[in-house]
Amino acid sequence: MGHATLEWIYVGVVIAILTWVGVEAWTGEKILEEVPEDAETIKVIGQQWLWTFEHEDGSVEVGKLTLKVGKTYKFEVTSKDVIHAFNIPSHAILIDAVPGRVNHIWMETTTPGEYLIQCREYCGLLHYNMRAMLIIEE
Amino acid sequence: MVLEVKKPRPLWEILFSTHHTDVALLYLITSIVFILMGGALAMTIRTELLTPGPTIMDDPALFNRVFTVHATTMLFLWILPFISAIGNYLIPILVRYKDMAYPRVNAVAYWMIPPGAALIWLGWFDGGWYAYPPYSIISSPGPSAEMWIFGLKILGISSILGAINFIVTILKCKHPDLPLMKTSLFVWSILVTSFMTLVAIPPFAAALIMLYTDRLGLSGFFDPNAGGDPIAYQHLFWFTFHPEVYIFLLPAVGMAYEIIPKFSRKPIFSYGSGVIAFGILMIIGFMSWAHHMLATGLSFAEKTVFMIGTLAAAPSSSMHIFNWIATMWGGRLKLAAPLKFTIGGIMLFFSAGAGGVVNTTLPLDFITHDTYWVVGHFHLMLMGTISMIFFGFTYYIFPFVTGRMYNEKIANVTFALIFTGTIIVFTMHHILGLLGMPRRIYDYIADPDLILGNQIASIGAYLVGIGVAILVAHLAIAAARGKEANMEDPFGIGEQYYDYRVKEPHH
Amino acid sequence: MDKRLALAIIVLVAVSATVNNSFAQIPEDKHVCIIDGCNLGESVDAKVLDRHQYSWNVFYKMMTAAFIVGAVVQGVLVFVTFRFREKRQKEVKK
Repeated sequence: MGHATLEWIYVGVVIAILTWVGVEAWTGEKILEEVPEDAETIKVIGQQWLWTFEHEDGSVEVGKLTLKVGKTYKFEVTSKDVIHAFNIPSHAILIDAVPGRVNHIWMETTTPGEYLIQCREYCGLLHYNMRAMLIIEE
Repeated sequence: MVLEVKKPRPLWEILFSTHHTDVALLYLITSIVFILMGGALAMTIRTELLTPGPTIMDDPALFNRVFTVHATTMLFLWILPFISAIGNYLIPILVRYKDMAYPRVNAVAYWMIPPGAALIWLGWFDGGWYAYPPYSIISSPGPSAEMWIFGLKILGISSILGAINFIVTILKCKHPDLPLMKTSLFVWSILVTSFMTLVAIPPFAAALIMLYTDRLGLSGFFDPNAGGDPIAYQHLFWFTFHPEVYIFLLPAVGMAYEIIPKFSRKPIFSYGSGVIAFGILMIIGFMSWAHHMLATGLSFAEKTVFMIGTLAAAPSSSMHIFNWIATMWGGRLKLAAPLKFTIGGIMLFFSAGAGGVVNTTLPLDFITHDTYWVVGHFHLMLMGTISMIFFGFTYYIFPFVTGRMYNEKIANVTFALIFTGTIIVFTMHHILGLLGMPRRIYDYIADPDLILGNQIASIGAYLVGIGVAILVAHLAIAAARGKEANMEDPFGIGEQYYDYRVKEPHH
Repeated sequence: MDKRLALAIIVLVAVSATVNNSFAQIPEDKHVCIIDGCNLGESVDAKVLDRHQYSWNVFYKMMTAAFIVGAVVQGVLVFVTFRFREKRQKEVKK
């Protein structure tokens, strides 16, 4: 077995593994990307250094977000001043809040409880403290 | 015997020299000074994160400035000058020319670094090293942001001058009897990174100017209130700084190609695949920049394209690993400090690369992005791989620079400290990221897991800090008082070392 | 020697492929549980698409692959370093 054969086998194996990774990731993202039609919209507004949530019925919450269990929600995320990132670590939700743009992401609520909402893009002095609470109610 | 041992020269003669070894010495000393300064900042950050709440700093603004200056220093004042230092020492020797092609440009490129560094260190910018607008436009205070902008601008010009010099030296001043395909792979790595520098730096230079005029209120390129788009800056920035990752990495790869065959006493397994892998990375490095921005609301098509671009970088990187292992296989390994550091670097290179693949795998990016996972990932690359190989190469080049030899036992101690410390701190960073700890935070939730993780990470960081401090102190002492090296073959590997006589003619 | 190396790589691929296929793909309505909150390996009704569960499922798969490949790469490196180090070869000659 010469130099070249060994090398080609190796490269082939690496490419095969990466192809598998890529396909896996692509199909996963495709499933997660599509927003279900029955999703309820919640406007999320980030500003230095607090989160504001606006429900479909017009009620506004600051620093906490109350959701019902077993429903689908679509977050429309934007920012008033600098770039923030809307993050719920326990639900793998992450999307940047960019001023002048509306980004969206969706999730289903499954388990009631209290979860952490935080900012994950550096936004200045109190970035570390830019937290809110997610309350999922029965 | 090397000049410095036989006949010490006055300082000004080295400072104002344009000879390639003198400029290289200046680069080398600058880079080592800045790894100590940047390292001190890293220790400050890890100490602050020992406990939740204020530990040694009362002011979060100070913390923000510390991590910004730490990042800027390590990238632009440690890694880049070190690459220029080794390039300046070795490129003229390896292409058999008497000096760099443009000695004066070379000196100018070096002398742009001190003013750039002074601007960065006096300014204490607080916007994070990537200075995302609108924060850096509307929120960053006073002259510090402008000083950072101009500091980086000067360092960018310095990089471009250096790159032009390397390209001309390699392609035009190479000895006519020496075909390019017979030169060392280190020459190839410098050639490839120089081309990448020429293509990559200009977009960032433009972005810096736009950032500056935005700050002055003259324009609104990136300010949404003036109709601009902050994401445009991120595209320009990462179009420069994703290739820049390879500009940092490839010279380290080239250094590993310099060390491994010599210390294994075997020729490189496949020279051709090394060159091909460099060439592929040069092109693919420009095709994956937006994987830093997957969470900014890119469309699904964009995300797919950049995920594929990122995954495409992995085969050529792994070709290098294969090449190194195959070179060592069946050799006779002289396990001196340079080889130990290099093997350690290769081990962590795989881990860092695997972490990178996980980062780009789309649903996972939303778990890991902007958490400590990312911090662990790129530190594993920059500290674990690049700096480890650089330390190894520092030991390797040490007899050539000083004419003296370091102490192998102390070198082994530094290797053990730095290697274990690196593994502890950056593995812990990955785990902290999975626990959901965002990066760049001054304070974290007082959760027992997070506290424990941060404290283990800090202990690892202290090990690295002690290791680097011993390394630098030992080399400083050995440079003055070490025993004289056998300049034909200082490591006893039975191969010709670099010709010390190139240091003789000064101009 | 070359053959052994090639063989090792092929074995690695076979093992990683097997392990990863044992985590079944998530179909539209059923998936195999591999995370907390249900019995491992059991089929679970998945009418609800839990982003967190899905992402972490992918994560565990990737990590399995990464750790298998990593163990082989690091193992080979350590093996090469110990097997071909100079001191050992001197001892073997004696």
